[in-house]
Amino acid sequence: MDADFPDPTDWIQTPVPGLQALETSLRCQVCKELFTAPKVTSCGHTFCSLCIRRCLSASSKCPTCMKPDEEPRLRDNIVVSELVSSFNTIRKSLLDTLVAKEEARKQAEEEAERDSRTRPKAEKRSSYDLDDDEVMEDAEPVHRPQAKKRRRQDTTTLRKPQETEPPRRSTRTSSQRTNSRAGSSQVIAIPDSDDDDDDFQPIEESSESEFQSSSRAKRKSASRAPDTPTKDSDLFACPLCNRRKDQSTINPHVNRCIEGNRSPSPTPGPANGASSAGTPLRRQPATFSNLSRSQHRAPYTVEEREKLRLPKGNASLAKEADIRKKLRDHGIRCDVKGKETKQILWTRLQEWTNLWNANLDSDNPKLKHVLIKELEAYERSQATQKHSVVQDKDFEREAWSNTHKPGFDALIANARNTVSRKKENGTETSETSDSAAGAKAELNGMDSPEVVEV
Amino acid sequence: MSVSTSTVAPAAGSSNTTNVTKRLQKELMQLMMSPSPGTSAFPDDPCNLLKWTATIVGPDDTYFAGKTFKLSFTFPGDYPLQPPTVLFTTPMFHPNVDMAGRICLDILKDKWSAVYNIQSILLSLQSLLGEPNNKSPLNGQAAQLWDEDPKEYKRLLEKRHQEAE
Repeated sequence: MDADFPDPTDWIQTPVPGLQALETSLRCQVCKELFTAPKVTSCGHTFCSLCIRRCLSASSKCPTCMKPDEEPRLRDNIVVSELVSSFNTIRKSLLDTLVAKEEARKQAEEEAERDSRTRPKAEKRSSYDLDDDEVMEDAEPVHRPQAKKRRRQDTTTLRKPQETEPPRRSTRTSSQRTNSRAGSSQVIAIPDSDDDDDDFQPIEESSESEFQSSSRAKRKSASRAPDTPTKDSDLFACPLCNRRKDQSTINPHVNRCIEGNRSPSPTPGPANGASSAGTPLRRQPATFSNLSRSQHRAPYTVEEREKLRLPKGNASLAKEADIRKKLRDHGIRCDVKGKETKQILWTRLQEWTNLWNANLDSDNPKLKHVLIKELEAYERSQATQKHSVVQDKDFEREAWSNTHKPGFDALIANARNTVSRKKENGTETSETSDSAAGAKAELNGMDSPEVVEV
Repeated sequence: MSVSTSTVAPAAGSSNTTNVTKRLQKELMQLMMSPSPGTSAFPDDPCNLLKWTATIVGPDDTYFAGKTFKLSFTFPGDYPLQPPTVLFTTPMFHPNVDMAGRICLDILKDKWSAVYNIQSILLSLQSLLGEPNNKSPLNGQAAQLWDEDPKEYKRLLEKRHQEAE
């Protein structure tokens, strides 16, 4: 629904809400994004390379099942990587199509109201549409049996798109591919649909035509909302290009469409088709050319990766000077002073290692200076929030007991003294309760200095 | 998002919280689109996704049935690697919740995992209401009364809950 913020819940509003589950499975449970360089743990769970590396640095456990795991055991999840990339290429067109369908159904429900509101617009129709109107009468009887749904879509979904139609018409060529694209995106009655169209990338466009040809059979059952005005309600929309045709011309037209659709698709097929098919190596050149060269490089080969992989190291064995040297070797600043220098530098090195190693797995590896910027940004984001008092209390239990050890020891000694004194006095019956009371009194006595100390 | 950050690097200011805010945006979307019954959650301030207010409704067949409890969520900068801080802001009388609203729940402490989210926390809290861990109580009185004196428990709970209004 929202182009800038794709989410599995987008599918809830479509006629196929089950796609929500599909997309959820294609998303990393840590960052909730579609997998980036997916890695599978030894327990079989999949995460983004960077996400699982960060998690393992934090706790050495699989986030899903809590089984212990370590970074060197992570393996590429190639199938998931391909699934994500092909899903990502069809996502927009699939969603647009389904939303349009649902939208059409809803609009049909308010048909009457809509009609009165939009009639002036309908009169501004192009000659192209008027031509179709003339044959409407002929077409009507034939289309009756063709399910009411189709007709309702026809009559209702076109109003909004009409505003955006003239520019499209002017750019429309004989290519059926372009037509079909216009057909799928224009019917969405969502305010930002126009922007989306402007942003349409060649890759998406071609993938859509691919998608359409693959699901052509389905489309024939009128999953499309056509783009002609109200009165054409009894005309057939070509399931491929969405043009309105009457009964006598629809069949030859569809045939031509199929031919037309088939012929353009091989052309962009090899180049862009690879990008949707998702074989990582073949895909690269296509995507890569779209990216700024100052930001990315070609993906690493397996050998390069193994060679460049940074080791994790061990916090307690590492010396501050070594950490500094490593960071400097990578061109990272070490301008840290104060009590926790080593800890800060170590954290920085860990995050750098995570970023670096995850970047090796990426299909679009970033250049080093971009990574360093990311490291700095990440550190800033960590600095903005400190752990709350509640958490500290739990996490620093040891420190707490160390600080107050003298107090606790004194308490225990006092309690023991009291017990032995009581025994000497020989009041055996009330011993337990008395000693408890004594200990309590001592506790109260100890309490106040403790509080002052804290 | 902090003042210092934005003055140092205005451009990076927006990107440096992406990890957390992007994830929280997703969660918000999820909560809005498919909420689970008896729970709700929303950021306090649309500009700052790191603080949320949530509500849970006490499950049926518990002392808390029909009562609504408010909670505050504060997310650390490295969420979801670290758990959020969750407090009951509605006065609570429960073995694992202290008088300041702090909660003793393993998944909010050492059992936290990055795959948990707001919704799973709320569901865990809902079930904690019905099944407290009486072995490590934060509120000893509540733990004792829970099994021994349901009537008194109910009375004290009502009394605490009255303080909300």
